[in-house]
Amino acid sequence: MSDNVLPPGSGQRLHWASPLYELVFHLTNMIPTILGLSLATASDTYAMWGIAGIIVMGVATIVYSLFASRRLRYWMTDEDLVIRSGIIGRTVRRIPWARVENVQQKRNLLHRLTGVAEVVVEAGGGMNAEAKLRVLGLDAAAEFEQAVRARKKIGVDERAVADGADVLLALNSKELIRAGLISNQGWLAVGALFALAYQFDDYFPLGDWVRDAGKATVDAVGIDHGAVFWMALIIALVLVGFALMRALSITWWLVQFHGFSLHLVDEKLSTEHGLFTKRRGAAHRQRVQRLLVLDGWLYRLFRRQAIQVGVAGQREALNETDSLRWLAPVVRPERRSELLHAALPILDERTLDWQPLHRSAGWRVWLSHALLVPLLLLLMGVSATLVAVLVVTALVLITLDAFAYARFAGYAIDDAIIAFREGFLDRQTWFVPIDRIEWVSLVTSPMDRANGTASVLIELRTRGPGGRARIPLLALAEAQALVVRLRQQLSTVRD
Amino acid sequence: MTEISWQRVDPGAPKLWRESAWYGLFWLPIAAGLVSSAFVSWWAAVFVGAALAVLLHLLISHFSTRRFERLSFALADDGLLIRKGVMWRSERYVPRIRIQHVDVVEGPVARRHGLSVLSLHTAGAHLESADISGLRSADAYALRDRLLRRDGA
Repeated sequence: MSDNVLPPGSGQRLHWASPLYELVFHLTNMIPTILGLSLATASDTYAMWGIAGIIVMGVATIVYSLFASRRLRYWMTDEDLVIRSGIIGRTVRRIPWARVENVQQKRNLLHRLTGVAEVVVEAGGGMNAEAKLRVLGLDAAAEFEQAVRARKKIGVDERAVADGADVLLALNSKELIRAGLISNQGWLAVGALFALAYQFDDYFPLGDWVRDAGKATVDAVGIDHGAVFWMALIIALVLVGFALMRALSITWWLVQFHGFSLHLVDEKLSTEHGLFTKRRGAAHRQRVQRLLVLDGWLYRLFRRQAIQVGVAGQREALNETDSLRWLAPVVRPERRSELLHAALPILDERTLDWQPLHRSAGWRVWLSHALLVPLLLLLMGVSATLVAVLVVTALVLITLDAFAYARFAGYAIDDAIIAFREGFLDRQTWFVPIDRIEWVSLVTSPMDRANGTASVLIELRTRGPGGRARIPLLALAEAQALVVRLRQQLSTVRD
Repeated sequence: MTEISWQRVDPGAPKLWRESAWYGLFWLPIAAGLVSSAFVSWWAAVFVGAALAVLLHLLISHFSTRRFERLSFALADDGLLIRKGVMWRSERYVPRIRIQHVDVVEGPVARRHGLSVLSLHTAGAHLESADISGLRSADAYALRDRLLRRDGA
């Protein structure tokens, strides 16, 4: 079929209220431009031009939104999703079902009040590979997902979710507070607060506050207080900062992950959460590329763990709130194996046979961190005592960390899974199904060759949590054997 | 998995890499000469530029030769193996079934040498592909055809 030929039939339309959402979307995007225009023309002489510009832009946007939404049509053929858009020209986009990775419904407060949803179709391969249907009525959205699901076995099964059937995990506010205490999302909240304050800076003159605080600091710096004062100040600032961050973090978790639940319905994993904006995501179990268990010191303190998932087609740009990134934001350690098994049925943690890294692992990690210690000498100008205390503390911590790291770190492989664990304060473990690996590579650095070690790099179809899959600091012979074994297992995989 | 034999790329490849490297770096000795002419006499500046050019040439030649020595590939029933790298060395295995498409790129400089680059693309999420530089163009196309044949012959 040629690219510009439309399927038979007149296609389906968006919801009648769509222009409103299209308008809201464009207006939100225009806020910086409008602010810029009003500032640039703030003086009386040009004020009229500024207002005229804003009015012209506003009217153009309204007209555009109205026509763009009304003109859009979509078709679901056996092979692909076809979307026709454009007011004067005509753009036809085809997304083959084979490339569709995920379907999401986004519903913020406005969507929920009017009973509509924005449907986002994520497709693999190439940039800009997603299509947005802004907006569909709830019935149409459900129908759309069902239709995609029938062709692709993805999407959310509305009924099953509504029934609460097959709920693997549901989190109450108490658990979310724990998540907030453990996993620091404070910086995200600070960013959001600053953005908000910027928009209302008549009421919250944040800039002035920061300047006042800076002045006070500068005044204090003027006096020579000695090392004890500086250490006390640093410790106090760190403690206050820490407490504030955690408070923000808890708020962030309570808002973003309100009512979190994880479901498994016919081979499909889905999550649902959010107080104001409801987020919901789903993926077929077959698309799971990697599971990542977080088990840092705070998790251990609260006797919890977290499980993140990397799904085929996930991009790096993913933020923390995106659908299906968190399989379990907090979960009791006893339930971890069960959840891992639910997401990857071929994974049975208890039968994995963990192997240690090369014996040089401890001091190699030590060296890589110790090389940064001389940077502390830059503080020499402030106080020599302070530098001495910091250097000693850093060396003790680095030594503890390196050898604890080497004791915990290791890898495991069986007929279906390759796994790796590392870390001391930030412990984490990942599991990758071997039959979904794209390629493997054995890498040696000059340092590796001097020590008889090597690392194994594993390429996956996801840029999701945990970065690149890499097993470092293996004995060379072991690394080679690992690659040979992966190769043997991969060569039996059928597409 | 049958046993495999490792193959080198064309012996003319180091010459191509040397040439390409110079296209990118020729301005460096000139710039160094010009900058130093502000501080020292003109003949000293010419000397700085020339010395840097010689040093660069030695480095580029050394690395091109080492790169050639380290670069080899092997076609197996189940996929392609590529060894490469001078400082960071890697041996990569790309399974045949994971290969989405194969490009043969003949750049303007490479074309004059009758050489090209073969790139394998997979669905992996990190954009880097596996490639072999410095293949004779006819060999590159032959290798591409053999890689895309599903029976692995």
